[in-house]
Amino acid sequence: MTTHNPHRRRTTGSSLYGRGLCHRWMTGVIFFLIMGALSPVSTRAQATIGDVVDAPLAAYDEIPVRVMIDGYKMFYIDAIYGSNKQLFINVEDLFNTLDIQCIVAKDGNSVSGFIEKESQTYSVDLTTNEIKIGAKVIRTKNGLSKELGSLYMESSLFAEAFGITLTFNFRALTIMLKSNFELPILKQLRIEKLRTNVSKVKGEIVADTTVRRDYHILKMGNMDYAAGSYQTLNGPSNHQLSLGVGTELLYGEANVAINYYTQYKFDNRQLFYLWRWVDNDKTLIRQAQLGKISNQTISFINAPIVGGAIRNTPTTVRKASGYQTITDHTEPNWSVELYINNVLVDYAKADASGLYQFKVPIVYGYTTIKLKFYGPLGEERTEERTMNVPYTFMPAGEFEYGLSGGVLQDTLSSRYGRAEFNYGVVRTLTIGGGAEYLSSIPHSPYIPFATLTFQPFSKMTINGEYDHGVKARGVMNYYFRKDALLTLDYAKFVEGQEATRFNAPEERKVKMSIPFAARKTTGFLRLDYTQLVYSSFNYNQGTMMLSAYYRQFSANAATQINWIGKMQPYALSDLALSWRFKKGFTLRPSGQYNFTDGQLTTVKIALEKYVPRGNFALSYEKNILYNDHFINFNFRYDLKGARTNFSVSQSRAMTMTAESVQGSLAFGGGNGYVYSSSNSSASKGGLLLYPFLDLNNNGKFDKEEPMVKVSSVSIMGGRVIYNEKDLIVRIPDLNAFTNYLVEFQDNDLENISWRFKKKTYRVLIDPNQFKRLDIPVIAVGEVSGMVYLNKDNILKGQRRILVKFYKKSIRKEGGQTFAELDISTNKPVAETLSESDGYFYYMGLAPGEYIVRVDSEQLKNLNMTASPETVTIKINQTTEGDIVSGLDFVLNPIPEKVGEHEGGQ
Amino acid sequence: MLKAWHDYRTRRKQFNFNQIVMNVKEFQSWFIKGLHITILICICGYAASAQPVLPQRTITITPMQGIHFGTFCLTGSAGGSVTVGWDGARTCSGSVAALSLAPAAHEAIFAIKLCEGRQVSITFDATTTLTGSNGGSLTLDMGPTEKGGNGASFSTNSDCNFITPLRMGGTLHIPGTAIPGTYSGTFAITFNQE
Repeated sequence: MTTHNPHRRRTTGSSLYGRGLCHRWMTGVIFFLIMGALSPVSTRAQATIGDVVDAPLAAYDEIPVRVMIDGYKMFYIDAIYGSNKQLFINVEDLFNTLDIQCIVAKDGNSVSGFIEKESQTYSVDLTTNEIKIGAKVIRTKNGLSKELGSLYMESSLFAEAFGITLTFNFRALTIMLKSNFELPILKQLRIEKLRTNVSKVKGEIVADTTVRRDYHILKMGNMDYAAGSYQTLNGPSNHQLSLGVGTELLYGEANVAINYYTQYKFDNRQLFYLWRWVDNDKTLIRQAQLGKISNQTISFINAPIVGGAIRNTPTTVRKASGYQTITDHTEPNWSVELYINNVLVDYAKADASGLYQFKVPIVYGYTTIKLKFYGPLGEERTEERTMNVPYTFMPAGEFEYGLSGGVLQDTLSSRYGRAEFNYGVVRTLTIGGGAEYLSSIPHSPYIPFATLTFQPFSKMTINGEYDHGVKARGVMNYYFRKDALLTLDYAKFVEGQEATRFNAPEERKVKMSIPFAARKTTGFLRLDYTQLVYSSFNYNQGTMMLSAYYRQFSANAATQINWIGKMQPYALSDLALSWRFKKGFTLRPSGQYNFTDGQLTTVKIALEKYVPRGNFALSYEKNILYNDHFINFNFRYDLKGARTNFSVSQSRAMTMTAESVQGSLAFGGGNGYVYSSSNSSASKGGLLLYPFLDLNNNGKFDKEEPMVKVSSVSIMGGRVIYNEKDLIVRIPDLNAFTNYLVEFQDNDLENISWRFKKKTYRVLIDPNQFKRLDIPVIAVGEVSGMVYLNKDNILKGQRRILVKFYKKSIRKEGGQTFAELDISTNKPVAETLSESDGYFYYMGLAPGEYIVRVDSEQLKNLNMTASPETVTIKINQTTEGDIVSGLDFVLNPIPEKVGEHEGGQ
Repeated sequence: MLKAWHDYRTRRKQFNFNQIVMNVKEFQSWFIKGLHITILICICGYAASAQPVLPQRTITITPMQGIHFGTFCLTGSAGGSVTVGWDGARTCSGSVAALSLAPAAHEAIFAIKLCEGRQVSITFDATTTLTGSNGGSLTLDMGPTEKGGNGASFSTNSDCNFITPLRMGGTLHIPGTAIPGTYSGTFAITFNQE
């Protein structure tokens, strides 16, 4: 029988473990020693080079070193590692890469420029062994060296002199670069990024090529359709049919749509027609509309307006300073896209109750805001809500006007007209005014009005409006803390006014929205208070709403309270929760509690299951107030080009079924292609990209030139369809009259030698049609050769020699043709450096003739000549790209003239 | 019946009200922007030639606020209803989702002034039809009021300076085929001073 001693066992185990560690440690030491034997510098690995020995540079190795900078791409520079265990960096190479000004003296013995700011000049002089930075002078005995005509500086001196710390890892041959100031290259990147964002918001896109509109008198394009049928058990059935056609007519877009409902007698209000023309390059009139127009009005208008409107406001988005907040509801968990003047600006996600909020930039001029809604699995709702911005803000000195008029489709055929203007007095102040006319207002159909928008600072906007005989209103928006918003809104209506009908004589509103984020929870708190002032009492409404997200959970709780004067208040609370769990299921319980009755009013639970291209939804609702229930089953499925929906619902009173289908067709998609979509195509446009191999390099798609396959196209706000058969790239669903940036990358072409002639196109989309764009692709040539150094009649491949390629120009003289360097520009079209063995290679020369030569400046610095001095090559037009090889240059040292040398002494 | 009213020195006033709204968006999205009541008031001056001036003996009704259903949309094809209770509580049922766009939903409010405290009974149209700005119509069930349903009676404060507010709600029925737009309408309510 064995006696167990746990302590002993533990000790043994510990001992074994300890030996294991020891063994691993030993292995590490042996490996390290081997590495040390192989490399004499291993002891300096991962060390900051700052404590260097000031020893002369006797022998060295040339090594390419990878430089890493936080926020910038990696790059390689040349360094030399000396026998004195010091790392020397090519000053010119490094500074040029970092965009630090670096002027090399003619003799190559010194460099100078400024660093961080213009007043901070520097110079590095090999002759005097001095580094000067402003008034500071650093003297170094062996910290500078000149190799192959370039000035090298010991790496630790960069920190001391320029505040640039270079931490070298020998094993990885990597330098971590950090600076105590913002490097110009990083600053430039930051500014560029900022500008790109701004230009995207502004709608100002920088591109290689601008493609303007194509105008047509008449061009048929798109068609929308929708049909629905609704049946009630033991009751009537109703049906609905909608049909819309979008065309280009007289250089503008023309949309016509008709809605027919079997249960209603058709009237002309269910017929929609609008012609719209936009040209942002014009000055006097930039927008025109004819047909059923929509307008911002002071009066309450309860019928469509048939008429026209013109404006000089461009449809582009010009961002001003400051923000405005938009809060609204849609279906729970849906995504919402925000478009300002048809340009996608932002997107947000709705919470459990469907609430969403945007903080959008204030933009100059008359602005329309459009919202698009997308389901959790990408389904898109056709609904587009257009909102009017309550105030207009103009750049200083700019004037904007709008004229509109027409007849209302009401029983009185009321006449309507409005003229308005806005003018930016200074950057922070915009004034506006005009007059509105509505014949159905009994006593005072004319309403002169004046507006004022003042932005004392970017976080505050004050808007004043005076509508004669109707109202005076003031609104102040103020963003405090980070994104919290306070809105004060006051309106006083003229007693007896008949222009608007739904307002109290006096309205006072305070709104506050406070976003928050704590760990993984985000959301916002909203507090609203409204007081409607009547002659006998005040009616008060207050709302407190909390919306929060935590991972896949979201919740919305809202309590409304109202009271009259000092009487008893009445309150109601809503709570909605949403939980998205695995396999596409979403559970959404919600309820409403009425404090007046002291009971739940409604409770509801909905379960949704998302499947590819569709979803099932089952919900049960109990209305306790009316002792009713509501059960609904809904199935939505997107066919290719059509959205279908089927639902069954049952309540205490009735059982209903409904079926619907909707979609659109876009014609003219090239090669007989018709694009079908489940969303509306009206007012949309598309692009047809024809990438072709431009064999004759004339930029035109000629008959004999083949099309090439493009596997990727970048466009903001568009879905790209690639077709393997006809190779046409189609991009439908783009907003008409809007500029899009189409970007290509050479990597997306099938052949390594193919290049896009132009990589970015700025295209203005034509309405209700596909616009064709031929994209030329050229097959570029590749060139290779060697650079040798002739040293004592022994040729050795020479690294880091700059080889330049010039486009050959032709000079005719006396009936003879001479090839020469392009004197007009004297700039190389390409250049490349020879590799460590002297080999050089370049791919990317378009078909044509070129002159190749070694860089004359470098030759001068090296005091050498090249043989031959120049070589003329021809890149032929081929499908696969031409290859020219065997270009060899030999560098010969220029012997020093004894007399001159002595004279120099 | 009319004779009986006179026998009981009843004063009767009937008012016409309007309306409701529904904003057109695109098809398949329906928004209803509220019911508002505007009242055509015909306040009859009571004979008052004697001295001293007697307190006003007739009932005075002032419409202060119209009923407004706010903005809402259909989320399915089955339709549903929106109820604004007399306490201002908005409840949606079926495939109707309430939106919080301004103007907010609220109940109708009448200010009642009657110097001599008596019973007042109310009668109103049980339903009314609202017409849309883009065609179509909706059915609105009126009531109940703060004091009860159709035919309810209640007593008012006898202080001439005291206003008795009367709140009134309604239920709007929205079929799945409702046309998007702004809907408005009128209804009649009668106050009987008993």
